[in-house]
Amino acid sequence: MFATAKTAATPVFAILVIATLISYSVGAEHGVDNNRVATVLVLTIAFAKAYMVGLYFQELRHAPLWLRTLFRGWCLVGWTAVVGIYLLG
Amino acid sequence: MSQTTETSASDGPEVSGSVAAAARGPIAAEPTDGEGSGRWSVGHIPGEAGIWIFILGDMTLYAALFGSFIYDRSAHVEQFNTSSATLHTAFGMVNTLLLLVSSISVVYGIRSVREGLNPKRAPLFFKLAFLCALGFVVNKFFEYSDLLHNQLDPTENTFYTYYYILTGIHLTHLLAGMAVLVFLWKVAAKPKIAAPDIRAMESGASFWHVVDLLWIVLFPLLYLVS
Repeated sequence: MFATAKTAATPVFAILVIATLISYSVGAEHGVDNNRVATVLVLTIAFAKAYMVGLYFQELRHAPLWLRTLFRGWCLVGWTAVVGIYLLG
Repeated sequence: MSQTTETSASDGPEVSGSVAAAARGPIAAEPTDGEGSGRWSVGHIPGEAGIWIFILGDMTLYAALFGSFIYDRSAHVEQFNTSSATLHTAFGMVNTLLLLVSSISVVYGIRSVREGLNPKRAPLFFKLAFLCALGFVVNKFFEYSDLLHNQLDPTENTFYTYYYILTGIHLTHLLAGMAVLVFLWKVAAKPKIAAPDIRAMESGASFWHVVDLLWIVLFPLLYLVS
């Protein structure tokens, strides 16, 4: 078990859990007074988490450049579009 | 077989021929952190290249739905805020945690088999992942039931239409993913695991992680944006 857990994915898992709790605290418990700031923060955490899942759980950090680029592009474009439309709306 | 670990030789499935030879090679071993070093400089596609065409296409479709949701939200801010407040955020958070646990279980399961660390335990990791997925489905059932009990169906307003479409498509992915998890634990339990098995397992794992990844974005979008 311990040998299996000796991977970069283990601390990443812990970070993802903490980030989820922070998002919940900020979004649901109104940990931040300004709704727009809270929403941008929560969405940014979400795409950062998705990025980490791709890189560490799906092992894309070792993938060929074309695949890593497509994935990073999805995260960047997705975050920019969602946050951008939210702020402009 | 001498190149596999003692554990795999005595306790777990026998890792056959080419996998044994590649136990520390590009197919079987977890890639090292040095992206530009050695044979990893060209990179390793987790699973089949074909699965990534599907995964990236799927993610693109979802990205379009995310954008469409947030765009329509700007035209119905009050409605979206009021409707979102009727959702049980705790359900969404628990489901996020369940999928994270399932994902790390799959990571450990793949490592157990691929690196021969403790292949006998690999099926257990996939079973744990399956149980987490089952927990998600049960959670979703209660959530849908509660909403429908309060006459909040997909026709109620634009928000609920999005809510049921986005979570419904995701749930379909999750159910397909559960079948994949069963496949993973069956393969992990095989007495002899060959290189194509490892590649198929990596493909399945990659799909399962997408189920997690999409929910990670869906949860704040539906439950937390205000």
